[in-house]
Amino acid sequence: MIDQDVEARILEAFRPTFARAADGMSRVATESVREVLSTSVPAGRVYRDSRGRRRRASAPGQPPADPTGTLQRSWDEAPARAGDAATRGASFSKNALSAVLEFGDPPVAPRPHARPGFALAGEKLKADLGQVLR
Amino acid sequence: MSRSLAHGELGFQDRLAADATIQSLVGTESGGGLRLYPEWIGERVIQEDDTYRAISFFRVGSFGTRRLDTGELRIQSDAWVAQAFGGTMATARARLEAIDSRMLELLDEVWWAYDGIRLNAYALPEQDPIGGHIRPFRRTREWLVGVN
Repeated sequence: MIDQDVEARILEAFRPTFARAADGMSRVATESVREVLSTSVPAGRVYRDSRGRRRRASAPGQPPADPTGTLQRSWDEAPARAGDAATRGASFSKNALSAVLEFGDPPVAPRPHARPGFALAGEKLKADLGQVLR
Repeated sequence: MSRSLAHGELGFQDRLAADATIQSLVGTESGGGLRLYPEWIGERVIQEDDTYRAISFFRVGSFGTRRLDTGELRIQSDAWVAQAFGGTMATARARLEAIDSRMLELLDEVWWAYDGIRLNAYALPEQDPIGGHIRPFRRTREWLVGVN
């Protein structure tokens, strides 16, 4: 059994590493969501935007079409926060539209992109956990 | 029979459809079919009447483990209940909670067999998206369904 004081000092010593790891995981998650958005090929209806350009919308169930990259750029990560029991990172979108598209909002059908992105991040981390500290 | 991730979706649907409590909670359409839909029904729910309630679900993602032919599905389910169901918003909300509770009993931390395939499922946190006054109450929940 480790003395509580020693345990606290060990945790303190590792805290910066935990923070780097949490930051790394958040970064991988954000990159993965952006990857899902950027690699999806829209298969929905064709329409003309306000400037008359032909665009193809995403089909329900697909990641949303993001021809201008606005949604991709809205994804960001927050610096890790150390708590007593865990160090937390966060990957999130600054655009409220992202959640509407993710879960659907009648009549708009869901276009999941965050959850497939996080799943992709999980696969990447399984393959190479060391990348979070690079 | 060989396993496929489609078994996860079909097994999920079958487990809900076969349950008498779910059948009584969501009811049937005028044509007789259970109000359980393996698709997004958001376009439809806005026009429905005050007795409307339903469950819809769809696959958000599927993740093969690349080990044999097992895998995991992520399914989003939405329970819908008209805001005026039962006369008040409280009765409508109670019905929504009842549907969600029963789904948890059937699908959270359990395993069952479907078509000779072993499936297991557990629930992820729920959310109640904010809707307008013409929309039914909605409880969105995600499930991880393992096909193994």
